Amino acid sequence: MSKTEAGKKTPDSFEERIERLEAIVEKLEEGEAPLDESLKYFEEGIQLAKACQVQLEEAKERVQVLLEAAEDGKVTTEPLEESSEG
Amino acid sequence: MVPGPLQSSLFEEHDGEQADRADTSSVEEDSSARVLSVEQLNRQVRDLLADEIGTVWVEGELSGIKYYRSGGWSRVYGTMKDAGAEARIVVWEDTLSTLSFQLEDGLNVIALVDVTLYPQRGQYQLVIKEMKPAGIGELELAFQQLKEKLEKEGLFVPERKKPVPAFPFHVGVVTSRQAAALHDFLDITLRRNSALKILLAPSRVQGTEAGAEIAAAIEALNKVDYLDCIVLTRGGGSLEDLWSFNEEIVARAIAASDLPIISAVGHEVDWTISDWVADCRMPTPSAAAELVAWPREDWLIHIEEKLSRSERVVTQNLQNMQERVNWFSRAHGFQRMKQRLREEIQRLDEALRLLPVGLRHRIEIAGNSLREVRDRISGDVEAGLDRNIARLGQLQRTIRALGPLEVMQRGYAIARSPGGGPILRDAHELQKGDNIEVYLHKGMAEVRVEGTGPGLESQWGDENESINEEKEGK
Repeated sequence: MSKTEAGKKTPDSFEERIERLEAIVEKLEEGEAPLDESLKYFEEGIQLAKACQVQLEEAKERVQVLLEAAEDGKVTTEPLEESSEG
Repeated sequence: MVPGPLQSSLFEEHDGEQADRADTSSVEEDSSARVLSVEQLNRQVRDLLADEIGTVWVEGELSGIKYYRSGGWSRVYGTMKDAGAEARIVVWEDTLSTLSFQLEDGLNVIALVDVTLYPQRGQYQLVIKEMKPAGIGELELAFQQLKEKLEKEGLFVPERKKPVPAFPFHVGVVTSRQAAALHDFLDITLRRNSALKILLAPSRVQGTEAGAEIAAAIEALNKVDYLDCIVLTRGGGSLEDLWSFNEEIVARAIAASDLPIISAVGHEVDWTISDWVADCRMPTPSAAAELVAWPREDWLIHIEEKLSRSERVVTQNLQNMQERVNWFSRAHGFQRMKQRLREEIQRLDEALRLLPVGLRHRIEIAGNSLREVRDRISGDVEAGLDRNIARLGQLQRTIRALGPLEVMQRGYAIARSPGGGPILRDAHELQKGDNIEVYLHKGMAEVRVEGTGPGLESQWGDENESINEEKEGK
Protein backbone atom coordinates (compact mmCIF):
# COMPACT_ATOMS: atom_id res chain seq x y z
CA MET A 1 0.00 0.00 0.00
CA SER A 2 1.35 3.38 -0.94
CA LYS A 3 -0.28 4.84 2.15
CA THR A 4 1.97 2.67 4.24
CA GLU A 5 5.13 3.81 2.56
CA ALA A 6 4.21 7.45 2.44
CA GLY A 7 4.30 8.27 6.08
CA LYS A 8 7.52 9.87 7.16
CA LYS A 9 5.93 13.14 8.13
CA THR A 10 4.24 13.19 11.49
CA PRO A 11 0.48 13.05 11.26
CA ASP A 12 -1.26 15.43 13.64
CA SER A 13 -4.97 14.90 13.23
CA PHE A 14 -6.64 12.03 15.01
CA GLU A 15 -7.84 10.64 11.73
CA GLU A 16 -4.36 10.69 10.21
CA ARG A 17 -2.89 9.04 13.27
CA ILE A 18 -5.47 6.28 13.21
CA GLU A 19 -4.87 5.74 9.53
CA ARG A 20 -1.13 5.55 10.05
CA LEU A 21 -1.57 3.23 13.01
CA GLU A 22 -3.74 0.94 10.94
CA ALA A 23 -1.22 0.98 8.10
CA ILE A 24 1.52 0.06 10.55
CA VAL A 25 -0.41 -2.87 11.96
CA GLU A 26 -1.11 -4.02 8.44
CA LYS A 27 2.55 -3.73 7.59
CA LEU A 28 3.56 -5.68 10.68
CA GLU A 29 1.03 -8.37 9.93
CA GLU A 30 2.31 -8.77 6.40
CA GLY A 31 5.46 -9.92 8.13
CA GLU A 32 7.76 -8.95 5.31
CA ALA A 33 9.57 -6.11 6.97
CA PRO A 34 13.03 -6.90 8.32
CA LEU A 35 13.20 -7.28 12.05
CA ASP A 36 14.75 -3.92 12.87
CA GLU A 37 12.31 -2.18 10.55
CA SER A 38 9.32 -3.87 12.09
CA LEU A 39 10.65 -2.84 15.47
CA LYS A 40 10.72 0.74 14.29
CA TYR A 41 7.15 0.36 13.06
CA PHE A 42 6.22 -1.11 16.39
CA GLU A 43 7.66 1.82 18.29
CA GLU A 44 6.00 4.30 15.98
CA GLY A 45 2.74 2.43 16.46
CA ILE A 46 3.04 2.69 20.22
CA GLN A 47 3.72 6.41 19.96
CA LEU A 48 0.76 6.94 17.63
CA ALA A 49 -1.53 4.98 19.89
CA LYS A 50 -0.37 7.04 22.85
CA ALA A 51 -0.93 10.29 20.98
CA CYS A 52 -4.44 9.13 20.06
CA GLN A 53 -5.14 8.17 23.64
CA VAL A 54 -4.02 11.63 24.76
CA GLN A 55 -6.40 13.18 22.23
CA LEU A 56 -9.17 11.01 23.58
CA GLU A 57 -8.63 12.19 27.13
CA GLU A 58 -11.68 13.77 28.66
CA ALA A 59 -11.94 17.45 27.89
CA LYS A 60 -12.60 20.08 30.53
CA GLU A 61 -14.96 23.07 30.32
CA ARG A 62 -16.64 21.38 27.47
CA VAL A 63 -19.29 23.92 26.57
CA GLN A 64 -18.29 27.51 25.90
CA VAL A 65 -20.27 30.41 24.54
CA LEU A 66 -18.68 32.54 21.85
CA LEU A 67 -18.77 36.18 22.86
CA GLU A 68 -16.51 37.61 20.25
CA ALA A 69 -14.37 36.36 17.38
CA ALA A 70 -11.84 38.84 16.09
CA GLU A 71 -10.56 38.88 12.51
CA ASP A 72 -7.24 37.42 13.63
CA GLY A 73 -8.97 34.38 15.09
CA LYS A 74 -8.74 35.52 18.70
CA VAL A 75 -11.77 34.31 20.55
CA THR A 76 -13.52 35.49 23.69
CA THR A 77 -15.69 32.90 25.37
CA GLU A 78 -17.45 32.18 28.63
CA PRO A 79 -18.71 28.91 30.06
CA LEU A 80 -22.35 28.16 29.31
CA GLU A 81 -24.52 28.64 32.34
CA GLU A 82 -26.51 25.53 32.88
CA SER A 83 -30.12 26.41 32.49
CA SER A 84 -32.30 25.22 35.31
CA GLU A 85 -35.01 24.03 32.96
CA GLY A 86 -33.43 20.60 32.98
CA MET B 1 -68.71 66.38 -27.73
CA VAL B 2 -71.83 65.10 -26.26
CA PRO B 3 -71.44 63.13 -23.13
CA GLY B 4 -72.99 59.72 -23.40
CA PRO B 5 -75.71 58.55 -21.11
CA LEU B 6 -73.34 56.47 -19.06
CA GLN B 7 -71.04 59.34 -18.33
CA SER B 8 -73.81 61.69 -17.43
CA SER B 9 -75.47 59.15 -15.22
CA LEU B 10 -72.21 58.51 -13.46
CA PHE B 11 -71.66 62.16 -13.00
CA GLU B 12 -75.09 62.61 -11.66
CA GLU B 13 -74.50 60.07 -8.98
CA HIS B 14 -71.79 62.24 -7.60
CA ASP B 15 -72.54 64.88 -5.15
CA GLY B 16 -70.87 68.03 -3.94
CA GLU B 17 -67.26 67.48 -4.93
CA GLN B 18 -68.01 66.74 -8.50
CA ALA B 19 -70.51 69.50 -8.71
CA ASP B 20 -67.89 71.99 -7.60
CA ARG B 21 -65.71 71.26 -10.58
CA ALA B 22 -68.35 71.40 -13.22
CA ASP B 23 -71.91 72.33 -13.14
CA THR B 24 -73.22 69.08 -14.52
CA SER B 25 -76.74 70.31 -14.90
CA SER B 26 -75.61 72.88 -17.46
CA VAL B 27 -73.28 70.68 -19.51
CA GLU B 28 -75.85 69.75 -22.05
CA GLU B 29 -77.06 73.29 -22.54
CA ASP B 30 -73.78 75.16 -22.86
CA SER B 31 -71.28 73.03 -24.69
CA SER B 32 -68.59 75.70 -25.00
CA ALA B 33 -68.38 76.13 -21.26
CA ARG B 34 -68.29 72.34 -20.71
CA VAL B 35 -65.26 71.48 -22.83
CA LEU B 36 -62.70 69.82 -20.63
CA SER B 37 -59.03 69.43 -21.23
CA VAL B 38 -57.85 65.85 -21.55
CA GLU B 39 -55.98 66.29 -18.36
CA GLN B 40 -59.08 67.48 -16.58
CA LEU B 41 -61.03 64.59 -17.94
CA ASN B 42 -58.45 62.07 -16.89
CA ARG B 43 -58.36 63.51 -13.43
CA GLN B 44 -62.10 63.30 -13.23
CA VAL B 45 -62.04 59.71 -14.35
CA ARG B 46 -59.31 58.95 -11.84
CA ASP B 47 -61.30 60.46 -9.03
CA LEU B 48 -64.37 58.71 -10.24
CA LEU B 49 -62.61 55.37 -10.16
CA ALA B 50 -61.25 56.07 -6.71
CA ASP B 51 -64.61 57.06 -5.38
CA GLU B 52 -66.71 54.50 -7.15
CA ILE B 53 -64.55 51.41 -6.90
CA GLY B 54 -61.76 52.45 -4.57
CA THR B 55 -59.88 49.60 -2.97
CA VAL B 56 -60.85 46.04 -3.81
CA TRP B 57 -59.52 42.49 -3.78
CA VAL B 58 -58.89 41.05 -7.18
CA GLU B 59 -57.63 37.67 -8.31
CA GLY B 60 -55.71 36.92 -11.47
CA GLU B 61 -52.55 35.71 -13.13
CA LEU B 62 -49.48 37.91 -13.35
CA SER B 63 -47.92 38.50 -16.71
CA GLY B 64 -45.39 40.81 -18.34
CA ILE B 65 -43.81 41.38 -14.92
CA LYS B 66 -40.88 43.76 -14.98
CA TYR B 67 -38.83 44.87 -12.02
CA TYR B 68 -37.37 48.37 -12.21
CA ARG B 69 -34.67 49.56 -9.90
CA SER B 70 -33.50 53.13 -10.21
CA GLY B 71 -33.15 56.15 -8.04
CA GLY B 72 -32.69 53.88 -5.05
CA TRP B 73 -36.15 52.39 -5.11
CA SER B 74 -37.82 49.53 -6.85
CA ARG B 75 -41.18 49.08 -8.47
CA VAL B 76 -42.82 46.52 -10.64
CA TYR B 77 -45.00 46.95 -13.72
CA GLY B 78 -47.02 44.29 -15.40
CA THR B 79 -50.54 43.04 -15.88
CA MET B 80 -53.00 40.89 -14.07
CA LYS B 81 -55.23 38.82 -16.28
CA ASP B 82 -57.63 35.98 -16.52
CA ALA B 83 -59.14 34.16 -19.49
CA GLY B 84 -61.09 37.14 -20.75
CA ALA B 85 -59.49 40.33 -19.58
CA GLU B 86 -56.42 42.06 -18.29
CA ALA B 87 -55.48 45.14 -16.33
CA ARG B 88 -52.24 47.05 -15.86
CA ILE B 89 -50.69 46.82 -12.42
CA VAL B 90 -47.99 48.68 -10.60
CA VAL B 91 -46.34 47.69 -7.32
CA TRP B 92 -44.43 50.34 -5.47
CA GLU B 93 -41.45 49.89 -3.20
CA ASP B 94 -43.40 50.12 0.06
CA THR B 95 -45.54 47.15 -0.94
CA LEU B 96 -42.71 45.23 -2.59
CA SER B 97 -40.66 45.30 0.59
CA THR B 98 -43.43 43.52 2.48
CA LEU B 99 -43.60 40.59 0.04
CA SER B 100 -41.53 37.53 0.92
CA PHE B 101 -41.86 36.07 -2.55
CA GLN B 102 -40.86 37.28 -6.00
CA LEU B 103 -43.44 38.40 -8.55
CA GLU B 104 -43.21 36.39 -11.71
CA ASP B 105 -45.18 35.65 -14.84
CA GLY B 106 -47.77 32.93 -14.54
CA LEU B 107 -48.16 33.33 -10.82
CA ASN B 108 -51.77 33.33 -9.62
CA VAL B 109 -52.29 35.99 -7.00
CA ILE B 110 -54.91 37.65 -4.94
CA ALA B 111 -54.22 41.34 -4.53
CA LEU B 112 -55.66 44.26 -2.67
CA VAL B 113 -55.59 47.09 -5.19
CA ASP B 114 -56.35 50.76 -5.51
CA VAL B 115 -58.15 51.19 -8.81
CA THR B 116 -56.82 54.32 -10.42
CA LEU B 117 -55.82 55.98 -13.65
CA TYR B 118 -52.46 57.11 -14.82
CA PRO B 119 -53.47 60.51 -16.16
CA GLN B 120 -50.49 61.07 -18.46
CA ARG B 121 -51.48 58.04 -20.53
CA GLY B 122 -55.11 57.86 -19.75
CA GLN B 123 -54.53 54.31 -18.72
CA TYR B 124 -56.46 52.58 -16.06
CA GLN B 125 -54.29 50.65 -13.61
CA LEU B 126 -54.25 48.77 -10.36
CA VAL B 127 -51.88 49.93 -7.66
CA ILE B 128 -51.09 46.86 -5.57
CA LYS B 129 -51.30 47.39 -1.83
CA GLU B 130 -51.10 43.79 -0.70
CA MET B 131 -50.54 40.58 -2.55
CA LYS B 132 -50.50 36.91 -1.75
CA PRO B 133 -50.23 33.85 -3.92
CA ALA B 134 -53.50 32.12 -4.72
CA GLY B 135 -53.78 28.43 -3.94
CA ILE B 136 -50.43 28.26 -2.14
CA GLY B 137 -49.05 29.78 1.02
CA GLU B 138 -46.95 32.88 0.68
CA LEU B 139 -44.03 31.34 2.58
CA GLU B 140 -44.31 28.14 0.65
CA LEU B 141 -44.03 30.10 -2.55
CA ALA B 142 -41.09 32.12 -1.27
CA PHE B 143 -39.41 28.86 -0.26
CA GLN B 144 -39.89 27.37 -3.71
CA GLN B 145 -38.69 30.50 -5.42
CA LEU B 146 -35.52 30.84 -3.35
CA LYS B 147 -34.81 27.14 -3.65
CA GLU B 148 -35.11 27.36 -7.43
CA LYS B 149 -32.92 30.43 -7.57
CA LEU B 150 -30.13 28.96 -5.43
CA GLU B 151 -30.35 25.67 -7.25
CA LYS B 152 -29.81 27.52 -10.53
CA GLU B 153 -26.74 29.12 -9.00
CA GLY B 154 -25.44 25.66 -8.26
CA LEU B 155 -25.44 26.03 -4.49
CA PHE B 156 -26.87 22.57 -3.90
CA VAL B 157 -24.59 20.50 -6.12
CA PRO B 158 -22.76 17.62 -4.43
CA GLU B 159 -19.38 18.92 -5.60
CA ARG B 160 -19.84 21.96 -3.36
CA LYS B 161 -20.37 19.86 -0.25
CA LYS B 162 -17.42 19.75 2.10
CA PRO B 163 -16.89 16.47 3.89
CA VAL B 164 -17.88 16.50 7.54
CA PRO B 165 -14.87 15.34 9.57
CA ALA B 166 -15.17 11.82 10.93
CA PHE B 167 -13.59 12.77 14.25
CA PRO B 168 -14.48 16.32 15.22
CA PHE B 169 -13.06 17.47 18.55
CA HIS B 170 -14.32 21.07 18.46
CA VAL B 171 -17.82 21.72 17.23
CA GLY B 172 -19.42 25.14 16.77
CA VAL B 173 -23.16 25.32 17.33
CA VAL B 174 -25.53 28.01 16.11
CA THR B 175 -28.81 28.11 17.95
CA SER B 176 -30.54 29.97 20.74
CA ARG B 177 -29.38 29.58 24.35
CA GLN B 178 -32.94 28.75 25.29
CA ALA B 179 -33.59 26.33 22.45
CA ALA B 180 -34.83 22.89 23.40
CA ALA B 181 -32.67 21.71 20.53
CA LEU B 182 -29.56 22.96 22.32
CA HIS B 183 -30.46 21.01 25.41
CA ASP B 184 -30.95 17.80 23.44
CA PHE B 185 -27.83 18.37 21.45
CA LEU B 186 -25.63 18.95 24.49
CA ASP B 187 -27.21 16.10 26.37
CA ILE B 188 -26.28 13.63 23.66
CA THR B 189 -22.87 14.96 22.68
CA LEU B 190 -21.60 15.36 26.23
CA ARG B 191 -22.72 11.88 27.15
CA ARG B 192 -21.41 10.13 24.06
CA ASN B 193 -18.02 11.68 23.68
CA SER B 194 -16.27 13.19 26.65
CA ALA B 195 -13.38 14.37 24.46
CA LEU B 196 -15.67 16.68 22.49
CA LYS B 197 -15.82 20.45 23.07
CA ILE B 198 -18.73 22.63 22.05
CA LEU B 199 -18.59 26.32 21.19
CA LEU B 200 -22.03 27.91 21.11
CA ALA B 201 -22.58 31.00 18.97
CA PRO B 202 -25.92 32.18 20.34
CA SER B 203 -28.48 33.48 17.90
CA ARG B 204 -32.18 33.95 17.80
CA VAL B 205 -33.78 31.22 15.70
CA GLN B 206 -37.19 32.80 15.20
CA GLY B 207 -38.49 36.22 14.24
CA THR B 208 -37.45 38.92 11.83
CA GLU B 209 -33.98 39.47 13.29
CA ALA B 210 -33.11 35.79 13.42
CA GLY B 211 -31.90 35.37 9.84
CA ALA B 212 -29.27 38.07 10.12
CA GLU B 213 -28.19 36.77 13.54
CA ILE B 214 -27.78 33.23 12.30
CA ALA B 215 -25.72 34.47 9.37
CA ALA B 216 -23.55 36.55 11.70
CA ALA B 217 -23.03 33.58 14.04
CA ILE B 218 -21.88 31.39 11.15
CA GLU B 219 -19.48 34.11 10.08
CA ALA B 220 -18.13 34.51 13.63
CA LEU B 221 -17.55 30.77 14.08
CA ASN B 222 -15.59 30.75 10.83
CA LYS B 223 -13.10 33.12 12.40
CA VAL B 224 -12.36 30.66 15.20
CA ASP B 225 -9.34 28.73 14.02
CA TYR B 226 -9.70 25.49 15.96
CA LEU B 227 -13.21 24.37 15.02
CA ASP B 228 -13.78 21.22 12.98
CA CYS B 229 -17.36 21.89 11.90
CA ILE B 230 -20.54 23.85 12.61
CA VAL B 231 -23.97 22.56 13.54
CA LEU B 232 -26.92 24.77 12.71
CA THR B 233 -29.93 23.64 14.69
CA ARG B 234 -33.40 24.37 15.95
CA GLY B 235 -36.24 22.28 17.24
CA GLY B 236 -39.50 21.67 15.42
CA GLY B 237 -42.12 24.31 14.69
CA SER B 238 -44.42 25.70 12.04
CA LEU B 239 -43.17 26.90 8.68
CA GLU B 240 -43.30 30.42 10.12
CA ASP B 241 -41.25 29.34 13.16
CA LEU B 242 -38.57 27.80 10.99
CA TRP B 243 -38.65 30.64 8.51
CA SER B 244 -35.26 32.18 9.33
CA PHE B 245 -33.60 29.05 8.01
CA ASN B 246 -35.28 29.69 4.67
CA GLU B 247 -33.91 33.19 4.33
CA GLU B 248 -31.46 34.04 1.63
CA ILE B 249 -29.05 35.73 4.04
CA VAL B 250 -28.68 32.43 5.95
CA ALA B 251 -28.27 30.46 2.73
CA ARG B 252 -25.53 32.84 1.61
CA ALA B 253 -23.72 32.59 4.94
CA ILE B 254 -23.77 28.81 4.77
CA ALA B 255 -22.48 28.84 1.22
CA ALA B 256 -19.66 31.19 2.21
CA SER B 257 -18.59 29.12 5.23
CA ASP B 258 -15.14 27.54 5.11
CA LEU B 259 -16.09 25.11 7.86
CA PRO B 260 -18.38 22.23 6.96
CA ILE B 261 -21.93 22.94 8.14
CA ILE B 262 -24.45 20.41 9.37
CA SER B 263 -28.03 21.67 9.19
CA ALA B 264 -30.51 20.07 11.59
CA VAL B 265 -33.66 22.16 11.64
CA GLY B 266 -37.05 21.05 12.86
CA HIS B 267 -38.34 17.53 12.58
CA GLU B 268 -37.60 14.85 10.06
CA VAL B 269 -40.27 16.09 7.62
CA ASP B 270 -39.12 19.71 7.68
CA TRP B 271 -36.79 20.73 4.90
CA THR B 272 -35.39 24.22 4.98
CA ILE B 273 -33.21 26.07 2.49
CA SER B 274 -30.38 25.75 4.99
CA ASP B 275 -30.70 21.97 4.71
CA TRP B 276 -30.19 22.20 0.97
CA VAL B 277 -27.20 24.53 1.07
CA ALA B 278 -25.47 22.91 4.05
CA ASP B 279 -22.78 20.31 3.56
CA CYS B 280 -24.83 17.78 5.46
CA ARG B 281 -28.48 17.66 6.53
CA MET B 282 -29.57 15.77 9.61
CA PRO B 283 -33.28 15.21 10.25
CA THR B 284 -33.25 16.31 13.92
CA PRO B 285 -30.98 18.04 16.46
CA SER B 286 -30.48 14.68 18.18
CA ALA B 287 -29.38 13.05 14.95
CA ALA B 288 -26.86 15.84 14.41
CA ALA B 289 -25.56 15.29 17.93
CA GLU B 290 -25.09 11.62 17.25
CA LEU B 291 -23.27 12.41 14.04
CA VAL B 292 -20.69 14.74 15.58
CA ALA B 293 -20.33 12.86 18.86
CA TRP B 294 -18.50 9.87 17.47
CA PRO B 295 -18.21 7.08 20.03
CA ARG B 296 -15.00 7.82 21.85
CA GLU B 297 -15.06 4.61 23.89
CA ASP B 298 -15.20 2.49 20.75
CA TRP B 299 -12.15 4.19 19.39
CA LEU B 300 -10.22 3.75 22.59
CA ILE B 301 -10.94 0.04 22.27
CA HIS B 302 -10.00 0.15 18.59
CA ILE B 303 -6.64 1.69 19.41
CA GLU B 304 -5.99 -0.84 22.15
CA GLU B 305 -6.82 -3.55 19.68
CA LYS B 306 -4.39 -2.18 17.09
CA LEU B 307 -1.75 -1.94 19.75
CA SER B 308 -2.23 -5.49 20.94
CA ARG B 309 -2.28 -6.78 17.39
CA SER B 310 1.06 -5.21 16.62
CA GLU B 311 2.40 -6.49 19.91
CA ARG B 312 1.22 -9.95 19.01
CA VAL B 313 3.02 -9.78 15.67
CA VAL B 314 6.25 -8.53 17.16
CA THR B 315 6.00 -11.11 19.92
CA GLN B 316 5.46 -13.83 17.34
CA ASN B 317 8.64 -12.79 15.58
CA LEU B 318 10.53 -12.94 18.84
CA GLN B 319 9.04 -16.29 19.65
CA ASN B 320 10.36 -17.68 16.39
CA MET B 321 13.77 -16.46 17.32
CA GLN B 322 13.40 -17.81 20.78
CA GLU B 323 12.58 -21.26 19.49
CA ARG B 324 15.91 -21.31 17.80
CA VAL B 325 17.51 -20.13 20.98
CA ASN B 326 15.78 -22.96 22.79
CA TRP B 327 17.21 -25.85 20.86
CA PHE B 328 20.54 -24.16 21.03
CA SER B 329 20.30 -24.08 24.78
CA ARG B 330 19.42 -27.74 25.02
CA ALA B 331 22.65 -28.70 23.34
CA HIS B 332 25.67 -29.52 25.41
CA GLY B 333 27.33 -26.57 23.86
CA PHE B 334 25.13 -24.50 26.09
CA GLN B 335 27.18 -25.62 29.10
CA ARG B 336 30.17 -23.97 27.63
CA MET B 337 28.27 -20.76 27.35
CA LYS B 338 27.68 -20.45 31.04
CA GLN B 339 30.54 -18.11 31.55
CA ARG B 340 29.62 -16.11 28.53
CA LEU B 341 26.05 -15.86 29.66
CA ARG B 342 27.13 -14.26 32.90
CA GLU B 343 28.98 -11.63 30.97
CA GLU B 344 25.99 -11.06 28.78
CA ILE B 345 23.78 -10.63 31.77
CA GLN B 346 25.99 -7.80 32.88
CA ARG B 347 25.65 -6.28 29.47
CA LEU B 348 21.92 -6.70 29.69
CA ASP B 349 21.80 -4.81 32.97
CA GLU B 350 23.62 -2.01 31.33
CA ALA B 351 21.49 -2.10 28.24
CA LEU B 352 18.27 -1.97 30.22
CA ARG B 353 19.10 1.55 31.21
CA LEU B 354 19.47 2.55 27.59
CA LEU B 355 16.21 1.12 26.32
CA PRO B 356 13.79 3.26 24.29
CA VAL B 357 11.30 5.08 26.45
CA GLY B 358 8.40 3.40 24.70
CA LEU B 359 9.44 0.02 26.04
CA ARG B 360 10.72 0.98 29.43
CA HIS B 361 7.45 0.68 31.29
CA ARG B 362 7.08 -2.87 30.04
CA ILE B 363 10.46 -3.70 31.51
CA GLU B 364 9.46 -2.34 34.84
CA ILE B 365 6.58 -4.77 34.87
CA ALA B 366 8.81 -7.55 33.72
CA GLY B 367 11.62 -6.45 35.98
CA ASN B 368 10.93 -8.75 38.88
CA SER B 369 10.63 -11.92 36.91
CA LEU B 370 13.62 -10.89 34.87
CA ARG B 371 15.73 -10.52 37.97
CA GLU B 372 14.53 -13.87 39.15
CA VAL B 373 15.46 -15.48 35.87
CA ARG B 374 18.78 -13.77 35.85
CA ASP B 375 19.61 -14.95 39.35
CA ARG B 376 18.71 -18.50 38.58
CA ILE B 377 20.63 -18.58 35.34
CA SER B 378 23.73 -17.09 36.82
CA GLY B 379 23.35 -19.37 39.82
CA ASP B 380 23.13 -23.00 39.00
CA VAL B 381 23.15 -23.71 35.30
CA GLU B 382 24.67 -27.15 35.83
CA ALA B 383 21.72 -28.36 37.87
CA GLY B 384 20.15 -29.98 34.86
CA LEU B 385 18.91 -29.58 31.39
CA ASP B 386 15.28 -29.82 32.40
CA ARG B 387 15.56 -26.97 34.78
CA ASN B 388 17.32 -24.93 32.17
CA ILE B 389 14.51 -25.49 29.78
CA ALA B 390 11.98 -24.40 32.39
CA ARG B 391 13.95 -21.27 33.11
CA LEU B 392 14.27 -20.50 29.49
CA GLY B 393 10.56 -20.79 29.16
CA GLN B 394 10.28 -18.10 31.75
CA LEU B 395 12.97 -16.11 30.07
CA GLN B 396 11.10 -16.41 26.84
CA ARG B 397 8.00 -14.91 28.37
CA THR B 398 10.03 -12.08 29.72
CA ILE B 399 11.68 -11.49 26.40
CA ARG B 400 8.32 -11.47 24.71
CA ALA B 401 7.43 -8.58 26.90
CA LEU B 402 10.58 -6.75 26.06
CA GLY B 403 11.29 -6.85 22.35
CA PRO B 404 13.89 -8.40 20.04
CA LEU B 405 16.68 -6.05 20.90
CA GLU B 406 16.72 -7.48 24.37
CA VAL B 407 17.40 -10.93 22.98
CA MET B 408 20.33 -9.53 21.11
CA GLN B 409 21.52 -7.69 24.15
CA ARG B 410 22.01 -11.07 25.69
CA GLY B 411 24.53 -12.01 23.03
CA TYR B 412 22.46 -13.54 20.28
CA ALA B 413 23.01 -12.42 16.77
CA ILE B 414 20.94 -12.24 13.63
CA ALA B 415 22.53 -13.36 10.38
CA ARG B 416 21.19 -12.01 7.19
CA SER B 417 21.98 -11.57 3.53
CA PRO B 418 23.96 -8.49 2.61
CA GLY B 419 22.26 -5.15 2.12
CA GLY B 420 19.54 -5.79 4.64
CA GLY B 421 18.32 -8.93 2.90
CA PRO B 422 16.27 -11.73 4.45
CA ILE B 423 17.18 -13.25 7.78
CA LEU B 424 19.11 -16.48 7.39
CA ARG B 425 17.69 -19.55 9.04
CA ASP B 426 19.36 -22.44 7.25
CA ALA B 427 23.05 -23.02 6.54
CA HIS B 428 22.08 -24.89 3.40
CA GLU B 429 21.24 -21.58 1.85
CA LEU B 430 24.90 -20.65 2.14
CA GLN B 431 27.98 -21.56 0.24
CA LYS B 432 31.64 -21.04 0.88
CA GLY B 433 32.60 -17.52 -0.05
CA ASP B 434 29.12 -16.03 0.50
CA ASN B 435 29.06 -12.75 2.29
CA ILE B 436 26.59 -12.37 5.09
CA GLU B 437 25.85 -9.74 7.69
CA VAL B 438 25.78 -10.58 11.35
CA TYR B 439 23.85 -8.13 13.50
CA LEU B 440 24.94 -7.95 17.09
CA HIS B 441 23.33 -5.96 19.83
CA LYS B 442 25.58 -3.10 18.90
CA GLY B 443 26.77 -2.84 15.35
CA MET B 444 27.13 -5.46 12.71
CA ALA B 445 29.92 -7.46 11.13
CA GLU B 446 30.36 -8.41 7.52
CA VAL B 447 31.29 -12.06 7.45
CA ARG B 448 32.48 -14.43 4.76
CA VAL B 449 31.41 -18.05 4.94
CA GLU B 450 34.39 -20.40 5.03
CA GLY B 451 32.29 -23.47 5.21
CA THR B 452 28.97 -24.85 6.36
CA GLY B 453 27.96 -27.97 8.18
CA PRO B 454 25.37 -29.51 10.42
CA GLY B 455 24.23 -27.34 13.29
CA LEU B 456 23.43 -27.92 16.88
CA GLU B 457 20.14 -29.50 16.01
CA SER B 458 21.88 -32.61 14.66
CA GLN B 459 25.01 -32.60 16.80
CA TRP B 460 23.27 -33.03 20.05
CA GLY B 461 26.33 -34.16 21.98
CA ASP B 462 29.08 -32.65 19.92
CA GLU B 463 31.06 -29.95 21.55
CA ASN B 464 32.81 -28.95 18.37
CA GLU B 465 31.88 -25.72 16.66
CA SER B 466 28.99 -26.32 14.33
CA ILE B 467 29.34 -23.54 11.95
CA ASN B 468 32.72 -22.16 11.18
CA GLU B 469 32.86 -18.56 10.42
CA GLU B 470 35.69 -16.18 10.25
CA LYS B 471 34.96 -12.63 11.04
CA GLU B 472 36.47 -10.18 8.69
CA GLY B 473 35.14 -6.97 10.03
CA LYS B 474 36.45 -7.34 13.52
